[in-house]
Amino acid sequence: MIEAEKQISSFQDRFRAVQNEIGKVIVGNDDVIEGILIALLAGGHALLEGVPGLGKTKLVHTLADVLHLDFHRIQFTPDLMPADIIGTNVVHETPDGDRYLDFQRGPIFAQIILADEINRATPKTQSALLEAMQENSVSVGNDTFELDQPFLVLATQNPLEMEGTYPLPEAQLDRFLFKLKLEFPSVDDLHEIIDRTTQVEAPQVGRVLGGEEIREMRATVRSVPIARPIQDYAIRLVLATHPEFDEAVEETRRYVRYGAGPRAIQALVLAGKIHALMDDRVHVSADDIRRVALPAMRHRVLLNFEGEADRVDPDTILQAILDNLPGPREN
Amino acid sequence: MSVRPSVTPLLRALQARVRSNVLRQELVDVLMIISASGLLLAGWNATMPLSMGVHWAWLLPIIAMAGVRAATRLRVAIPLWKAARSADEHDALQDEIISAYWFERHPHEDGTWVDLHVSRAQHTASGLDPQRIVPTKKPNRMGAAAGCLLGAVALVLLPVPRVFEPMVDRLGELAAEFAQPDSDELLAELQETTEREEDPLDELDRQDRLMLPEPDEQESGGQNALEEQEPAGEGEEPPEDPEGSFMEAEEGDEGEQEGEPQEMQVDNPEELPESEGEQEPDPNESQQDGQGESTEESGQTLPAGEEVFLQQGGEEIEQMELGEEEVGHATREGGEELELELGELETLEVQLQRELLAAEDLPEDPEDPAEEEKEELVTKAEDSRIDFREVSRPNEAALQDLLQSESVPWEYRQIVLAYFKALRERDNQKDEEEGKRP
Repeated sequence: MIEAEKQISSFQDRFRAVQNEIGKVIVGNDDVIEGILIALLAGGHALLEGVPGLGKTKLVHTLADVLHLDFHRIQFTPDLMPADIIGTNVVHETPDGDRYLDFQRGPIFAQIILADEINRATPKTQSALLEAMQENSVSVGNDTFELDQPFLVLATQNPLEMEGTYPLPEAQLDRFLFKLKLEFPSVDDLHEIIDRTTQVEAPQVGRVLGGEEIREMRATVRSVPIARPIQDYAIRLVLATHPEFDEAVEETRRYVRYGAGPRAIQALVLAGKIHALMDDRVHVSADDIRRVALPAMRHRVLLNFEGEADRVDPDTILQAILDNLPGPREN
Repeated sequence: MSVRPSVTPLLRALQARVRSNVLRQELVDVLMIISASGLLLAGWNATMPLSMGVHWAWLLPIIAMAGVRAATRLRVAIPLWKAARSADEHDALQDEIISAYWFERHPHEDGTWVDLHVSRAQHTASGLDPQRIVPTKKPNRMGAAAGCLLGAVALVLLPVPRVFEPMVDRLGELAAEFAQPDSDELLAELQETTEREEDPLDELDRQDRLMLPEPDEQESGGQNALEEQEPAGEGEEPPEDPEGSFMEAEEGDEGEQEGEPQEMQVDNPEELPESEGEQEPDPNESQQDGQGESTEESGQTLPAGEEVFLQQGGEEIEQMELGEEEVGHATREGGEELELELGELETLEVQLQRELLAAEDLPEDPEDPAEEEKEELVTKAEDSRIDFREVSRPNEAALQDLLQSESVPWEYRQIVLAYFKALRERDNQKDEEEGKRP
């Protein structure tokens, strides 16, 4: 138990250290920073959505600087091809005149990937990320290349400029552990942003966490036990997003075409465990599940025609579910 | 050897406190139910006295129901996981106790992290105060229970005027009167209804069959009637029917009915001259047509196939036509003119009494010599003289049975009613006569 106590303490220290380092550059959006870290420690990926100029790319750059990990940025455009992401075989010629094919690794071979404006690429290109995000591997021809761990994809998309964009397919969306929304900063945050970026010396961040520490933290997260009543609550929460189940609320039955899948439950439980550790607890509570419910499920709820026509925000439906779903019960 | 940490003691303590609260509440509820019932009963008893049987019949079921209710409530299980959730919610423990309790119940989920979690939960639970989580609740409805109890005691101890007792007595009397209908009124109504629907001319043959006894009974009954009629019927001359086919018996006023026969009787034709010689015709009661046919109350001779009118008390009650088939018993073999002698009503009365006596003697052993001798002695002594007052009661019962039985057609009920009415009136007359005698 002492070892477990040490792991918990170490986890909390490292987590807070990363938060503090990122906070030196990024003003506000603490929930987004926490969500990115949770996605990193849970072994998932995050989709950042926000209007231009809110610091999405800056946030990812800062995270890469704080974490001692390889970082690549991919700017998604309509003419981007899958090979531009994964890589391609290139013909090489030896000094003897022999020629051979050599796989030239693409930008996906890194530990932190920034897929900037991912919705501007074609679905074919977007799908190039599927295997990497789920299997942590890349297959080219007959060869399969394992990706280095930790592997984190941080994609951004602009919700306003929808012309010439390709909405992410459901399968692609389901690969993201969280969908995080960046809100416009408050006045105080804007003052802080101006102060930091208009001075002579720009704030600098140090690398506080490496790949090994992140793997240890991931193991610690998965050691946290969760009681069956809490797990049952997470399951019921996901089932409530399906209109055909008894747990569904009125909003679900009216606006939802298809609800969240089992990956949502995994996201809820893993994220809940991280929240429990950060709260100095070794058990997951229903509140932990509730806290991560919105970022974990908002991109997994598919609206029907009526929901699209009424411009219903999935967060509204999820909040109604959270308000009406009974708490943990005996199992 | 280490003791496995547990949060169950805390949950047991919480469970016990919840149960004690439920127990207190149930005691108050039971007390209130019984007190309220006692208050109602005491109030009732104060205004109108009740027997102890009513007291116990009222209170025992209520006490039993209150006991069953309390037992049912107390038997409801209070799950420990609910206690765990209560503790978590009360102290904002983020489901720590309920998770630890689940891990305790599922030991297969063992591990360092689980032990760490349960030990932490036990430490947290040791710092919790069960009385703070489940405070001692003051039972609800205590004031109502105390009020009912005090009210019941006050009603028992303090004198309260029984203001409702006279009213209840009066209600009882009214109910008794209402439950006992006036039989005379019912009979009069029935008779009136029957008279309206009756068509006597069409049903004379049936009426005759109903009114007249069988030939054998006529002979025996007629003799008895004559013997019995002698004291009352002396001096009366049976009027002759002018046409020899009709007889109309009328009664003038109340005074003239005294001592006169009220019922029709077929008498023995051989005894007719004697009765004719003894009786004088009463023009007010009977009419004769002077054709040699005798018509009287005690012995009338009627030709077959003619109509007979009977009027009693000045009211024509029946008109019947006697057919040859119906009076065949009165037809002689020599082809002589058929005569039907109607005896007095007492003949039927005596016949009925005899039948009743015979029916009473049926279950007894007919071969018992002592009974036979006793019966013969009684027969000789009584000689068919039976007090009419003793016969009246069976007649009333027979009247009700006849009128209420489905076998008697509606159109014949008037005849039956008139027959028994005649019996009753003569009983009254006889009572009056006996009352006048010294």
